[in-house]
Amino acid sequence: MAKKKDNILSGIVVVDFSWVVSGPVVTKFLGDYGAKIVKIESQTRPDLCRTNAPYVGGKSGLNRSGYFAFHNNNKLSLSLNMKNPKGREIVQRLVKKADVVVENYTPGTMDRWGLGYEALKKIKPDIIMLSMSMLGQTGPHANHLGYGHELQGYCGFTRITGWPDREVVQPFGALTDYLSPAMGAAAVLAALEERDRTGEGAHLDVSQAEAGIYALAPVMLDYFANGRTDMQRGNADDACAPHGAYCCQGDDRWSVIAVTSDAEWKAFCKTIGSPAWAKDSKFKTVLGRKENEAELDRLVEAWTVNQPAEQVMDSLQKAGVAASVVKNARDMIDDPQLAYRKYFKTPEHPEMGPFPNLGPCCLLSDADAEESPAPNLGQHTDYVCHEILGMSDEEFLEFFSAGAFE
Amino acid sequence: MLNKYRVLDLTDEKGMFCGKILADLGAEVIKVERPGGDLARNIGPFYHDEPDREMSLFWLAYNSSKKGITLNLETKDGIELFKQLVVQSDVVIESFDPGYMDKLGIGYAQLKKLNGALVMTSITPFGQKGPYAKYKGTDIVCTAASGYMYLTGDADRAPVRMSFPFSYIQGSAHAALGTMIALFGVRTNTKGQHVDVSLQESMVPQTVNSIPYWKLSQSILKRAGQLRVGVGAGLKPRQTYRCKDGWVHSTIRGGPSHEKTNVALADWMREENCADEFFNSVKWGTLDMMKIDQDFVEKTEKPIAKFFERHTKEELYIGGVQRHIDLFPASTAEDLSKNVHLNARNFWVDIQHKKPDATMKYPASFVKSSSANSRVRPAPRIGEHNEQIYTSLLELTHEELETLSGGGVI
Repeated sequence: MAKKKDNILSGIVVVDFSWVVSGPVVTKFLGDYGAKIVKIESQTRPDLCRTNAPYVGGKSGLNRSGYFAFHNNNKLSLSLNMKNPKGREIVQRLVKKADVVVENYTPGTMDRWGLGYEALKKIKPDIIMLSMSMLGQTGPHANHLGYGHELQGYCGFTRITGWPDREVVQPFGALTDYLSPAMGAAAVLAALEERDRTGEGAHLDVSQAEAGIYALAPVMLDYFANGRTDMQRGNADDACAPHGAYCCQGDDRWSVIAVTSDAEWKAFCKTIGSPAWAKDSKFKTVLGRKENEAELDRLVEAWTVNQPAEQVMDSLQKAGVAASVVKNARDMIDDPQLAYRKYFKTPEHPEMGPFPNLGPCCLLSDADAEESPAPNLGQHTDYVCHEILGMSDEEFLEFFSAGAFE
Repeated sequence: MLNKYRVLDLTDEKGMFCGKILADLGAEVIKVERPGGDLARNIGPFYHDEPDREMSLFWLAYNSSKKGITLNLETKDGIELFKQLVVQSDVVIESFDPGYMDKLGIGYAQLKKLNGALVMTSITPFGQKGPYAKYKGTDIVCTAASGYMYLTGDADRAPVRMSFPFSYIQGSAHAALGTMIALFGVRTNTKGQHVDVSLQESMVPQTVNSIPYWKLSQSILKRAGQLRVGVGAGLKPRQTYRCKDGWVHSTIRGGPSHEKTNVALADWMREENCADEFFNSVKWGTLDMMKIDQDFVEKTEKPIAKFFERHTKEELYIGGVQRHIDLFPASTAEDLSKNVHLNARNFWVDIQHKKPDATMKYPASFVKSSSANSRVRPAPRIGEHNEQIYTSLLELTHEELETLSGGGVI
């Protein structure tokens, strides 16, 4: 493997025990800007995402999952048998060279492997360990199990989503899975700054749930101050109208429109051809538009329904009014703004061929994101042992024969 | 943790959460507002529903742990003072339209000349450059543009947005991380960065596997209300169930790795005679989601739904914890305030305000470090730290402060 040019985070070595989504997205964000992420994997207990559809060619396989590949780019994969003492010895040697260890298991799991924070500290006293479980390392429910899909509801996201005349709906996906990692990774970098200044490492306890609730602080304050606990506004906004999703031409095509000022309302009316109804005085003010919102929405939709959503978006944005196609996955792959920012790196994956990955957390003026694909399971066992651990061929063979890498 | 960094925070509602994260990681974050206060202080709801620029709960929440000064960037004096502050700061965060800071003479290219190690983090709907860079973006627009909004809501209605500006949170979290990445770079090679965060782009990860599904099987995932989509064989297992006093979240997953939770739920249901013949015939250990059909899924879910309706969310949650079942309540804010686990972890901290004259509970920091932890502090009142910052950092005299204040600069 050729020596890569140094990137912003190239000085950081991360031993990555995490799996599924939240932990792996932490390490992906760090790997995107050059951190050496050594993902510890096992043939017998693979990352659950490797066993999730969709698969390339519709055929399942540990190296064929699109779900896994999407957020596991820019990492090295080391296959280890953690039940084998020779396998555990490799982990210890890795930790000696590492700055950070990341895991998102149920509390106690790493301790059972002899890799809890106290044990890691003995190997490398200034190690930064990020433990990012669902509910945190301590507390009566710390060992409760589940996934981000359920956890996001626990955080309060479900009770603030839906139409006022219907039952709640859960927001799509697993919001905490992709929100908490950005915050966890920021905490890791803060701890590294502290280490560089004081020489001391740290054990970071980030609860995915707490990260989500912390982010929803205004909703919590509304309860503590005013006793309110629910919020289902559909697509309406308290402060402006029109504000919503409007049906456009075609199959399940929509455009959102948000008119946030009187000036924008004037521009909106002009763009839709200054129809008579728009001149009605009841729509002239924000208050008036809010009070007559239902009627206003019907009139707006009578205009959008005969046009492609793209046209609604383009014509309104040109006039200075916020609008967007409600994009689906196909729209996203072709999105011109993401393309301009080169968001979807599409490197050649060893088994899947060219496959798009989630981009980095942001763009930087003086650094480019890495462009390696997600790894096959154990793809870098050789590289990690030789290049990072400095093993000789004989040593490597010893570990191999002892079953350390199975 | 990072207690030596100074951050000048010029953001509006799109980016205020970024500075909050950095402040709770230990940075000194100074919110820079126009004289009279940020426009974002007009965002409701307010404390006791009294509209007051110092009682916006949204503003108080995301600007807690920060200091606050006022400064008019549309005056020559204001720009001069800002530049002097930049020379003594490590980070500037802003969320103005692309180009606005440049027009004022304090864009990245200009500030870089004053402070080569400066990290400037810009948060905008679509990014600094590109075909959408000049487009207007509110939360509903950024969320729709990201592909995320399409995926939520009932199948027979328009896609629906969360009744909360989630893209501002997600983008701000990305901005905090981007800032920390850039600061790491400053420590290793003293070169600053312009961090360019797009709210649209930051929301793309939240679409989970919908893009892989399109790429690999040419299928477009569509919203399905309380059902879950993106499950192998096009199945739609339920994810939100009604219960006695609200809703809970639980969903059927197959394979040996989910056998335990499925069996534990089945056992509990049997204890209460809620399992029917079909349900009892399901072999959880070998359940393969790729080999069953929607009819099978619905037949399995029927008794589960009946069982959940007999219980409150608290009963189901606690039962789930005790029996190791993947089962969570759809919490209200009230539920969270009373949550035994969160309280045991001291997650709710009392913050005393001068305005409102009240003590309110806030979430504690999102991270607990074994080393140093930052305390959550009340959000600043308008211009609260003017004297402290201007006299100590810029050595302005009180006469100068008075002149500048009277002249609308501070």
